[in-house]
Amino acid sequence: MSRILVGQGVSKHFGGLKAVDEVDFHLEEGEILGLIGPNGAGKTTLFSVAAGSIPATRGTVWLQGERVSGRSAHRSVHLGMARTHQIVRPFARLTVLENLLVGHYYGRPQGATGSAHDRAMEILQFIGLGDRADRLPGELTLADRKRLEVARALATGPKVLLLDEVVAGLNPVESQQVVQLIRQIRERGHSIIVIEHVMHALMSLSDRVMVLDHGRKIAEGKPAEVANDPAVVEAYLGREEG
Amino acid sequence: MGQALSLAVSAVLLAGFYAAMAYGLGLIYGVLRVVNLAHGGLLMASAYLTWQLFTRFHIDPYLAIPIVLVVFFGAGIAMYKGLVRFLPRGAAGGVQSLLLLFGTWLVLRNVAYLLFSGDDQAVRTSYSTAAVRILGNSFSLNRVVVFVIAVLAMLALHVLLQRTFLGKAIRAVAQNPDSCTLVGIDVERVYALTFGIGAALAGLAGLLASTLFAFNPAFGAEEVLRSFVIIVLGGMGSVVGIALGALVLAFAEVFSIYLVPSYLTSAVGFVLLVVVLVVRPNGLFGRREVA
Amino acid sequence: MRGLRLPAWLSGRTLLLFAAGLAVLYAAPLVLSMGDYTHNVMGLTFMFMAAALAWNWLGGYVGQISFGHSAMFGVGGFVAARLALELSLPFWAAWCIGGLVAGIYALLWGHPTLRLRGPYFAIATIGVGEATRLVATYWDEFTGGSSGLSLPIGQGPTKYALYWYGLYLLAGAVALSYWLRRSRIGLGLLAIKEDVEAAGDVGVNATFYQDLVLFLSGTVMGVCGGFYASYQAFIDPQDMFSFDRSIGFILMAVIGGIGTILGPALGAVVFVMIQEFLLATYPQLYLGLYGLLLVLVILFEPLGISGLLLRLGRRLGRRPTPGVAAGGIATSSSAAEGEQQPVLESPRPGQGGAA
Repeated sequence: MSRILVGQGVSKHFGGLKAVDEVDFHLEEGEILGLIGPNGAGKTTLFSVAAGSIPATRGTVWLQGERVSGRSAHRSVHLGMARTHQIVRPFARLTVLENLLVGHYYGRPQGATGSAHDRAMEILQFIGLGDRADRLPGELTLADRKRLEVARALATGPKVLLLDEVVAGLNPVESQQVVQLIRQIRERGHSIIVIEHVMHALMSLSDRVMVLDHGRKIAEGKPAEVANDPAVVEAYLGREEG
Repeated sequence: MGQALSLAVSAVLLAGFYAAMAYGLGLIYGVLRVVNLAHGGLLMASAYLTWQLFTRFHIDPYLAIPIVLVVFFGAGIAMYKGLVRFLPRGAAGGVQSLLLLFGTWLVLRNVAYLLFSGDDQAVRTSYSTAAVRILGNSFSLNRVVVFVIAVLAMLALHVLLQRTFLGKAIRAVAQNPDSCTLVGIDVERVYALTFGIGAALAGLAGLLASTLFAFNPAFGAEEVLRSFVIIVLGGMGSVVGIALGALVLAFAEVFSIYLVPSYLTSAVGFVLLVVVLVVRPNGLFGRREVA
Repeated sequence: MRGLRLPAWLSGRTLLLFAAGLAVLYAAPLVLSMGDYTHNVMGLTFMFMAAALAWNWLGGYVGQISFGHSAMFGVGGFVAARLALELSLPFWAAWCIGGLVAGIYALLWGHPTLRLRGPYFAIATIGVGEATRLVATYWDEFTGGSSGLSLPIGQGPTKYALYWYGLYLLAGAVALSYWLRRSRIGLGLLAIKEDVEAAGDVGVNATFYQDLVLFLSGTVMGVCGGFYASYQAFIDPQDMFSFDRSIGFILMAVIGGIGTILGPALGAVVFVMIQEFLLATYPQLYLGLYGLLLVLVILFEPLGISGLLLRLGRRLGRRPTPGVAAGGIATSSSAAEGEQQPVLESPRPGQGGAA
């Protein structure tokens, strides 16, 4: 198993605030890595740094040996990494299909064959939006808009997918469907990092879990190990302020 | 050295006026996310109103302040309820609000032109030529009075925003309008009142301007530009920020005479704006992502 | 020879319509008898239509409203005029070089400022326009200062001949408009317009595409400036670089339909007609009238005339195909319809929320 995504000493400071503090991480090919931590722990910031949306204050992230941190977001996408957002950001005045086409045309998916339309439709069918291809994002339910966000990322043909709280806000039935979906996405050949607050979803999904608190990595390992780690429990339930 | 000192005082006096001018624009933008391009038109209209009050009814410009404030407060509320309220929020709304208010500005300009012709006007009171000595140099009395009024206005505004319930409501709406509805704040009403206050401030600035500069219906474009530069430099969230931004701009303009010919002074602000934005690419309000 | 295959975004029918329109306009003066005045004004109008279309690439497709496009118009005009005067270049070469210089100038101020969004960018462009005007007015050696530049009579094309050159200019602008919108570049531009950061997150190099559009827009504006110089045989910086001129371009695009493919061209025609009418009867009202038009358009029909035509088309029962809407105005597909709805309807849920 090779490491497809590697981060070393990644730090992001906003003035005095250390949003991400010297985090080392890696993602194996074909793996699902769970990223958890209390609110404000730095998870989304880490995603943004890895994706190239914001520059790292220190440290580097490599995708298959190529540096992606500190370059632009679109370059990361071209190299094979796509991310979704916590609060979905569809192109509001484009249809569902057109949203995907943007990803297809500009994401430089490698080895994509056939017409753009066919490929986009295939992804939409896979994700369950096939019959809503001509709708506008505003007409979709939240669950569907989250699917759209993921589908659009898939359209760029990524090797690595960064999913930011895709399950949050969904009812139990929808959550289950999304968890299944993520497994299927991995089966299609993508490596995934998942940020999630819905614990049981994340724990059942991940091969490995990494825990951040106040920007630092405090635990890493199999889901069961991490769940029982006292440092993790403390981070979630709070400390006694001395 | 004497000249530098004189210029410095000049810059400070100018900064006062600039700050008063910028605050109206900044408040509306900060709360409604709408750039009131009619700001220039309001400045111009107020200058004309002041002039008329003075020439027809012999009301001294500084005594006309309450009248102007009330009139423009009402105008601002009317503008909100009649025009701005209908714009969609977000991406589509930004462009539309720019154009809508710009159109309003053009109408104001034409009305002024029809009523008063395109000639330059000025408010000349009996004391227009009086001077005051500061630190060994002589400055026009009007400029000093304008500075004092501008500072008082900003203090009043600061108190309004920090100490009154309306002020708190305004600040809350600026941060998160949706949550405000949840706690029972009438967001639309706050928007209307904010627009009114912003317009009133524009009215005040126009009144002050009329005592300092000559004006015609085209007046206001440079002032909008300057106001915007100040907002970017200093931030729109605080009176202090705008004051600082105004100081920076005023000093840059006044001392630029050492470097560029005087006709380019108004271009200084623009150059400053571009420089700031290039150096801080996310503007001064770069988005912060917190996990 | 291999048969011509049209790209996916260009339909044979559209191409045919375009060629037909071109042919009709080309032949019109030769078959009909228009007065000289009408003929010449039409030529000038073709240029303004091209200019409005060029403005719309940046203002409508990308969504970055420029209040300073007269800067490129003036740069193009003066460079072209200077070249014609000093080097006796043929007019079309002077126009092209003038256009290129204008395009490069646009990139110079535009590259750093395009990272600004919305109102920030718009106000920066006010500054660009004004600063350019100031510098140009005082740079007498180049622009002739307040006395302007005169082109010698006899050199360059006649107003009569300019009708056809204006038509070519318009044809080029229409072709570019169609290409920029209908090709995959158009989709990318729409994405940038919606949410520039999210566009980057799916691989769109927003900086590059915005720069590209600005360059094209500036270049075509510059060529239009060169045309104008040839047409008037006299230009001065206060007029060429004026804020009012920049306003004019905005009005043309907004009245005709900002963001649509051909709307701005329609708007330019209306604009010129109003201008001619107003200059004759109520010269002192034109600013106010334009302002009023802007307000009315924004409040009631954000897509301007194109919007009205679309509504008419729907009433008449013809569902607009992705290619052509009623009246032959080609708009984009559902994107235009969803684009800016009449403001009095509430915005769609989930749409237009500021991120």
